[in-house]
Amino acid sequence: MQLSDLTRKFCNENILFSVLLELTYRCNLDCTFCYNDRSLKGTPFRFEHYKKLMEDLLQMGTLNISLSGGEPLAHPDFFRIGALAREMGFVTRVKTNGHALRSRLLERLKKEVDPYNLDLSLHGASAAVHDRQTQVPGSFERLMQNCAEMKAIGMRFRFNMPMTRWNENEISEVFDIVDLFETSINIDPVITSRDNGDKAPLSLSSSEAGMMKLSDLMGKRRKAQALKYGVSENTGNDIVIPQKKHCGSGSSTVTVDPYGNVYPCVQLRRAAGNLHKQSIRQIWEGSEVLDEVRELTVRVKEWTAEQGESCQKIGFCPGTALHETGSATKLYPQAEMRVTILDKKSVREEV
Amino acid sequence: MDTNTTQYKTCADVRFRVIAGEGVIIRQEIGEALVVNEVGASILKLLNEGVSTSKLIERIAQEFDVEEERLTLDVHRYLSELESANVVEKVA
Ligand code: SF4
Repeated sequence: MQLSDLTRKFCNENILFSVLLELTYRCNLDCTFCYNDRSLKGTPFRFEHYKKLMEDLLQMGTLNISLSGGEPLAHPDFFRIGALAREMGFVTRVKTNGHALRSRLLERLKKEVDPYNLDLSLHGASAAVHDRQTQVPGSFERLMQNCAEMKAIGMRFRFNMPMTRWNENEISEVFDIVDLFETSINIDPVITSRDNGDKAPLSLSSSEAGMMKLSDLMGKRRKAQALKYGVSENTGNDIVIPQKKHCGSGSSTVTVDPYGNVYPCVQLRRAAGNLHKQSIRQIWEGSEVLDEVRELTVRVKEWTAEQGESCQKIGFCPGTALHETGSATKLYPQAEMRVTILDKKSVREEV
Repeated sequence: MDTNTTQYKTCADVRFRVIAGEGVIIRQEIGEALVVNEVGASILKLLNEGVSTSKLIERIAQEFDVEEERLTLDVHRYLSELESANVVEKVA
């Protein structure tokens, strides 16, 4: 069986495979569109709490842990938590802006945490654009230097980039940076309002022309990659497990905020319980919120199928839909735009 | 040469879990994921517990109700495959 089949199986059967831990909302950068709700209050989760959580997750067979934030390195116990995750045999990813990761700290991360991967935030291909978004002068130069150091010591990393009106004209150059470091990038064309409901970040959403350009560039890159590496074909003998749900929200994944609140995933922020009061197993097996979300993701899958092929291809996020429109089965503006783009493209290809 | 007293352990970059009866192996260095069946998963689980090859054969024979003699050859072959794939290594 392939891992992709297995992950579908985990999702279908509600097996908690991946957990995202938002260690802190503190950060050494100040990105204009950051969605974290810094006004959120509660009892902060500390090393002992994470230790107990990881022991429970180990019992439940969880494999992946992502350490996220804010900036996860800003948590006072970051290294102890990361080292423990390593010791317990979790596949650990660190989602970081990479600003602090150089020389001694970088070496320490490699030695003590040995993450499977770093997800680094990139906001443009030039200091003018990247620094404008992070609001910290010099952050682009610093990130490029740090990436070179990471490469030199064999630290695996890839980039994450939220696409905005400011960086949409630099996508081609962003791909040059990706190629320079021989890595990959995940470009997210959807900017959401903040978790506290503040809609200000939406004004930075990318334009239809920007999304169209991204879609064209991605298509070209995919073709080039396929020619370079050869396209693997399904042999026809493989058993493909169909996925019953639209996504793994609350079915194979959860997100934990810095105060121990558990959510179905990073976008669908309906608290399913709090780890100061209940164990993760109790929440996973007994939460009504998780049960509702599991049913919801089945409905969303059916709904996207009814909407047509383009809607199934855009990476529709029910969490974002719920947050932006109040309904998990309603196209939010950026999803609508992407459907329009795909429809236009398919007409263009047919002609 | 392998003997039943040889002990193996998973390599430092390997992460492994038994989930829903399937063994998931992640080789961090090369970013590769492997999935092994129930028997393979049990073998790796026992190795991680520090069990020697002979004990491992004994335990697997009991668990899956197979003859030890037949199993010995298969387990040795399997371990050497895992060793060439850099999933396990001999304990010095
Ligand atoms: S698609 Fe959206 S709702 Fe589903 S898991 Fe991803 S972020 Fe959560």
